[in-house]
Amino acid sequence: MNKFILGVAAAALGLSTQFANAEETLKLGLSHALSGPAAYFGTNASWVAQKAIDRINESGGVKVGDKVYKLETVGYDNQYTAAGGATAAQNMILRDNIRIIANSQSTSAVIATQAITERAGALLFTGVWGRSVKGPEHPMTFTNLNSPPEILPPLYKYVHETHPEAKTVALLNPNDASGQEIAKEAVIQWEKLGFTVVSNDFFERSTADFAPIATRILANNPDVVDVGGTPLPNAGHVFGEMATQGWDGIKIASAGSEAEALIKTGGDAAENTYFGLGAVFSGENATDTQRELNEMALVELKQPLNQATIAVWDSIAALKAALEKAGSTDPEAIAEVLPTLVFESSYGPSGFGYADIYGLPNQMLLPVIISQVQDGKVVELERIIPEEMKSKM
Amino acid sequence: MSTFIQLLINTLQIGAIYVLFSLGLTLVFGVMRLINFAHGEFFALTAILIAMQMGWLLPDAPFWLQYVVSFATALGVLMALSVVIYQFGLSRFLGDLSSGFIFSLGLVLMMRGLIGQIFGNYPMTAPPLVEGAIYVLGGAISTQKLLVAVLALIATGGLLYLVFRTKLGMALRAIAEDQEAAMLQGIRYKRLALYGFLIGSSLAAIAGGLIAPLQVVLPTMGGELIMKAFMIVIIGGLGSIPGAIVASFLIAALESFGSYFIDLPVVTIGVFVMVAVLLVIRPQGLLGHVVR
Repeated sequence: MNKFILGVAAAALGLSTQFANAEETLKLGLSHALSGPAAYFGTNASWVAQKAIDRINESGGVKVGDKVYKLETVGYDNQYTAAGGATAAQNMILRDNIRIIANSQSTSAVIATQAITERAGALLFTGVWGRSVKGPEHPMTFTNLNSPPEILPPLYKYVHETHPEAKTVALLNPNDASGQEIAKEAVIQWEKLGFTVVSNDFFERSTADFAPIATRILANNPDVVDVGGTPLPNAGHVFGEMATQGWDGIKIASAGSEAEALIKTGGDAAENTYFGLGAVFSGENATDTQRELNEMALVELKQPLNQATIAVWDSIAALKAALEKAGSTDPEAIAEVLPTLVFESSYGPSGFGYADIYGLPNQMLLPVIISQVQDGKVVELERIIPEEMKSKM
Repeated sequence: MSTFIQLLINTLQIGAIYVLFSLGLTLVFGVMRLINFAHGEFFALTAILIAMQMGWLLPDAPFWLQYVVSFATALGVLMALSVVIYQFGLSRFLGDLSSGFIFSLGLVLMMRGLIGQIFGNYPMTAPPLVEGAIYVLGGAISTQKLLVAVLALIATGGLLYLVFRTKLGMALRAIAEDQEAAMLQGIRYKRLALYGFLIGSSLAAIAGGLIAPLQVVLPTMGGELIMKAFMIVIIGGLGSIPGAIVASFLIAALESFGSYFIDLPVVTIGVFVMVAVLLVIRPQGLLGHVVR
């Protein structure tokens, strides 16, 4: 009888140990905008993150040394603000004891987040563009989306070669950290190509009517209008107003990612607009992963995905590869391994690089996608793979 | 010359929407002595309902018919919601500025949260009703914007007629002037306050409906406009209908001419400075009355 009880107890202990192993999870933090004007952006990115970890968990999880981890996301609303970013980071680091943040949105929120994550030695992924969040002062920050220094040179070169007669450009950006950052980079890159920047304007994100701005831009009669980081639904209205006021020049939305939205609001005026971040995930250049995710998003979110919302998929893919290669969940060990990886992102093989620009190879190496509105649809013209990625492959 | 005309046209199209939106706010204050911050949410909800219905309701009908039906449905929903909000909330705070202030702020948070939950926080767009542009003395305006400006001015004219030429309007003005004296004359204050609130809400709804094809429709779009409308109402004089009209075109002209000659962010700051200075030298606003 005693042997029987001991046997049952041993079996129960074995089962419970196995159960504990099976339940071992690694929490990844998400700091997304889930309320306010950017909420759709955060909601969609959170959905992508869930799909990424579902896929990894369904295929057996992440093997770290001799342990297998299931991934779990813990998300907080950063409201796209510094205060929201700080609160989200405090909750993740102090309350949930998270040491890996798989994605964080908004430059101001990321700056506030870094102040907390860096003290805790946590790893942070983000798609924001500010140069100030990257580089040797932030060795634990990795970026998962092309930003102006990667996008603008090939995009402007393409436009310059296609329209050699164009000589002047007007810039328009939102009056915030991202907008200022893009404008600064855009001026440098346009002038490198010999263009004259005839105006460099900023607008408040709450601007409702773009007619006055269009009138101001057109006063200089530019050959090219580059709306930089202007949200594309607003950019559509800008181009619409300019068309109404009689302008028909070269239009560029260099850093906007919601290309379809520009067509909706701009109508005919959106025709021929160039994009530097306007991938078409339903198009023939998209990878199978991108096409499949986009189809699911159209059903579940009623929205197509864009390069900004799909970015978290790639940081989670990079994390899986780094965890397995490092054989450790220690953020520093992962950060050490990340720049050495070639992993499978949603775009195909990717890695990390651009140390020549930022001083550290912490920027994801992704193709620069040049697209254009043609006959009311966004068409990808070219996917330019960075030379550094080609050498890694 | 053509630039000047263009700037005037820009002023007209921006000012028309400001007038319509801020008139509702000032009317509700005049009658109910209450600042309805949820006015912006009424505006946003109508725009969202229209953007959602376009293409879904009567998909084979012409655009204008889809728009008219969507607009009518949204207006109906807004009116029903306004009656509920008045009966179960606002009617308890009539004339109580501080409690009404807190209630309306709570209403903003509740409505914004509910709108986000029910309709999602995605930017939506409603297709333009008419294409093309009209050219006047070297200036240009899209036919769509001209149509919206004309409709906004017609709605404003309708309101002015109602307020200054009808018995209901006289009663509303009497309440705004002196509530107790009006009640002593037999005016049923609570009923008139409901009418005033419904007229104010319908103005917000009409503004939302007119602007839906012109802007990106978002649950937060009303919050952006309410601050501007609040400044317009203060500049014009709290409760003053002519004041709101004058201040709307003044702000629109500042935005249009200022953003051309200076810079839009600087103009935005300039408007705030103007409100602050005006509050110091003329607290009752341009056309408001001094309350003694």
